[in-house]
Amino acid sequence: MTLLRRWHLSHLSLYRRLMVWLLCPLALLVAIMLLQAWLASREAADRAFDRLLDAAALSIAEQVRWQQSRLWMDLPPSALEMLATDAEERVFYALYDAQGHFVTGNRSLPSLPTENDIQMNYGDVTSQDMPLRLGVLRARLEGWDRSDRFEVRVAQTREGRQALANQLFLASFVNILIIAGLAVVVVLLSARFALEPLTRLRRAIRQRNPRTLSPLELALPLELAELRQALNELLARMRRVRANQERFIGDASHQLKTPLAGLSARAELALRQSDPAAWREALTTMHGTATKTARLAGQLLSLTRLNNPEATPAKQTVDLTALARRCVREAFSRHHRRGIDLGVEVPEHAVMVSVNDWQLEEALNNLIENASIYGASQVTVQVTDAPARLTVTDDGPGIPESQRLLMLRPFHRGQETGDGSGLGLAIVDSIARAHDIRLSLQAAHPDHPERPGLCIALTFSSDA
Amino acid sequence: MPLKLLLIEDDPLLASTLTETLTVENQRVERIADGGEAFARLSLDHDYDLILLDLNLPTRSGLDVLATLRSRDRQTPVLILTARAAIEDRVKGLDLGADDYLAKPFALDELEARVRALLRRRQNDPSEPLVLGSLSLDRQRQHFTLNDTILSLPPREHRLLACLIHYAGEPVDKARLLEDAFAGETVGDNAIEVYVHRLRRRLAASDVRLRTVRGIGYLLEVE
Amino acid sequence: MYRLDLFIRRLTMAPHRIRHLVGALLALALMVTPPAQAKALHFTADAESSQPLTIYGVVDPPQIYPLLADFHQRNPDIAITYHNLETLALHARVLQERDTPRADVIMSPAMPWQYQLANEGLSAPVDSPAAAAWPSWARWRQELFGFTFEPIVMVYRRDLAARMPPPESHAELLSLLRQRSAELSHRVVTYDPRFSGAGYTYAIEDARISARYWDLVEALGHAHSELKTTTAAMLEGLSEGRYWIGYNLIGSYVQDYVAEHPELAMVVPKDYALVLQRLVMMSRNAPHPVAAQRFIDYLLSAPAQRLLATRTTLGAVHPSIDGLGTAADLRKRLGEAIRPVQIGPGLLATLDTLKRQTLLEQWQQAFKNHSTYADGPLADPSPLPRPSQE
Repeated sequence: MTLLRRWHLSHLSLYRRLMVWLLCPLALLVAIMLLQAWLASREAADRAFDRLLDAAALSIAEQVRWQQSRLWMDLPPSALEMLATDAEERVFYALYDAQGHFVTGNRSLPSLPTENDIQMNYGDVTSQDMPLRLGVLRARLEGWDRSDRFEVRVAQTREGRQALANQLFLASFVNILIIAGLAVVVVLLSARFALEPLTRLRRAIRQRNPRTLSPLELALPLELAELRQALNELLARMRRVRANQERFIGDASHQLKTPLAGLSARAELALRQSDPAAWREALTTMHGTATKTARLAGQLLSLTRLNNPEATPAKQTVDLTALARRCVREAFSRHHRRGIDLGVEVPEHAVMVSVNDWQLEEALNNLIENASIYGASQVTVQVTDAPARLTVTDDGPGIPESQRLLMLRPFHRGQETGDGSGLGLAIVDSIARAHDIRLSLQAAHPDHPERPGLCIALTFSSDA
Repeated sequence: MPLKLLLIEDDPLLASTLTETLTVENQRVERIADGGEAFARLSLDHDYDLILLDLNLPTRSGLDVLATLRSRDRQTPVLILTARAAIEDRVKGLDLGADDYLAKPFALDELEARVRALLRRRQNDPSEPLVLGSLSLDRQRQHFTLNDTILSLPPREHRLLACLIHYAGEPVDKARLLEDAFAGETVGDNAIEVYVHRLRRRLAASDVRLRTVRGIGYLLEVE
Repeated sequence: MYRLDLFIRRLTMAPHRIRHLVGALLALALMVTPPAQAKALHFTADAESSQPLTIYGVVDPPQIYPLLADFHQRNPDIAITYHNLETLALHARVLQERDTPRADVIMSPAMPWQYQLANEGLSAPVDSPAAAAWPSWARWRQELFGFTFEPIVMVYRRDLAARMPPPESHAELLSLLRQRSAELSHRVVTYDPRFSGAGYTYAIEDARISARYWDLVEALGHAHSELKTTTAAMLEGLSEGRYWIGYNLIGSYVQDYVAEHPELAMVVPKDYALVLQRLVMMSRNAPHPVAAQRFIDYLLSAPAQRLLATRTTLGAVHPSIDGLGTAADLRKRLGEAIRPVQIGPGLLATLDTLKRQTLLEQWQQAFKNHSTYADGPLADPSPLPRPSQE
């Protein structure tokens, strides 16, 4: 198994994958060819040398006759001499009669099984630790009176054959290696050439200005063209997002510059006056504006973070009850100082939902802040179960139904005066949408048309 | 002996304003503007009663300064001031050992209240009484004084009021009050309300108010 | 063997009958004497680390002594033991010892028998520079090396010239035997192919060279020629005057003998002359292969060959050695007429039972004697373990 893991190809470079898948089969092929060449060489050598066994056996067989009531032969020395080639093999011969009795010879040689009526059979035998090639000739006496069968068996050691086989194999071997070498070179070059578009793509991407989101223009083969298409679509989306962000930042910057300009002008005006009462009034105004602008800056940051498409905030299991309690406790003093009665109504048990905790806390804080800024004197945070719901109810002037959707847009304020920045509800809306939470606005006390108040609810989906 | 506060803040306008705000009777403020300097200073022994720490400092981050302080000193209360509104930053600071957190911009009275609360909470010297307006608790002899007259309270009321004055200015959970005052006895739901009502009557003639925090509990404050 | 020679010489002075008796006894002794009791030469090692070396050979100790002495001088760390054996006895002994050979080096002039041993796989390749450089016609497979060059000659008494022209070639001998058969009756001597391995070998070779050989055999038979088993016996008879012509004697022995017996003359036949080569081989699984290789390397090197050429009558093969007593010289003198016995598988044919039968039957017919091919120690010329019946 460890070997398999090591050879896990998916993380190897494409080039290397190609190499492995091309060269391994090639190597296998070469091995097979070498094996085949070896076998063919052996067979060719055997066939060539077996002719000598043929000739020797035949020339011996020609000298066999019937004499003195037995098989008899005059062994021609040339028969044995032709068996010993340049390799100077050891040679053996034997004559056997029809019953398999040894008549004459310099060694007892075994027989070979008959194949149809082929006269001459060849085989590899070992005799007294010597590997020999044996040729067996079955013949008959020629003549008028007798036609007895006999066998001439001749054998030689294998040096000559081996040398010829090796020579033939070496020639094939060199050829095969040369061809294999060329094949490897071709494979390497073609792989490099074929993968060239990848290199071009990589280079094109690297050479891009990292800040640019312009589409990638590059001629590519079909498979990579799809990749390029997907990349360009992604870039287009990012361009849209960036455009939105830039527009938003433009808006925000405008929103910040305006009150800052107001501050600066008011201070300048106050400096022209010499009445301490006027100064006091100026300072009060400026303090309010400064606080508002600071809050705006904070909310802009929040909104930017929320609109960041790259981050997918992790979800945790959050207890709404504990969250409501914590937020109210922390915000109480601040609101109490402003004369707002902030309270919480939660069940005894925990109400669990799956959200990103800091985003939900941000949303709740914004809702509480929003309620207190727009003129409420009592703000209550409620948590209910089944379905899990977080509600912030205030007794302020509320929002007319026609304006409710507009309020969710950034920089849209319910009242022109007031400390609101116009971003609070936009932030909450953004968070709700990211979490698949239903945001609803309704009047808290519909039967008080003067001050209907506002009840903003965040309803969590049932499987949260 | 005057209280010594350390303010670590680099912005000159904010620093001078806070220094002036917090320099009151029996309280002095020392200011350091650079993170590296603060780091060096707090790596040694100090005698500050409270540290106000801005997290965005030049040279060295506020969290580093906090970490090095807490490695030697777990007692001195630390109040973090930061422009970073993100909740993770707040949690990070509190995890590292800060006692409280205040996001910029903040109202001055908010700051003062928190400073007071921290100083009061950490007052370890039992010889020093806990004071809130005209109410004061002598911890050694364990009796309350309201408007210079001793307030004699039944034990439960006493414990309740002691707990509330300890966390003066901050809402206290009903659950904690129950635990402190009734020490684990099982009581009816309205038991606290009864004692609160009685305490309110006693405090009616003073500048100290016992407020209800709906859904949470109660708090003791000066009007 | 050395003392026996002198003994024989002294006997030549003795009366006729006693000579014959002693001669017969000697012949018997030669046949019957177990080879183990033949003379052995020992050279002890001088150096500290000694390696023993055992040699089986057929050369008489006096002939081989200079060679061994020279080798010993060059290689004092080798202790040499040389066993002098008869050709067939040597062959039989090597076969007997095939599984645990006692000899490191085996030398024999009985070319077919020596070749057979090599063919059976009882020889080992010699890897030495001299062996690698040895001419290919004088070796087989780097295992068998012909290190001498000995022509087969005719000998005649000089006083024969008074009666008839001495034969200088086979053809002349044949015509002489035909024309003067009565005069030459019982006066010609040659090898008995039934009993002598050398003689049998030469007969086969002669028969291969020319069909007219059988005419010669018939003529020899018709002239009631004497058949002997050793060159020495033939020479002795010639010297004594019993025989006038000797056919197919080993030239090296003849040369030595004729030098001391000026009444005899040696002639290398002009039409063709068989040449035998003594074959040397190293045993497979030799007990001391390193020493064996050094000896064979020495044997094939120029100094040894020069020694063979000059101090023995065995003749040298080394191509760089020239001068009297070398193959080169013989070739120069006789040119095409030289017929060295081929070291090759043809030698195996010589040993074929049926072939032997044939030859001896033909000889029988010529000599009209009644011994059969089954007579003599050559009855089975290839004494291999009898092949099992299949």
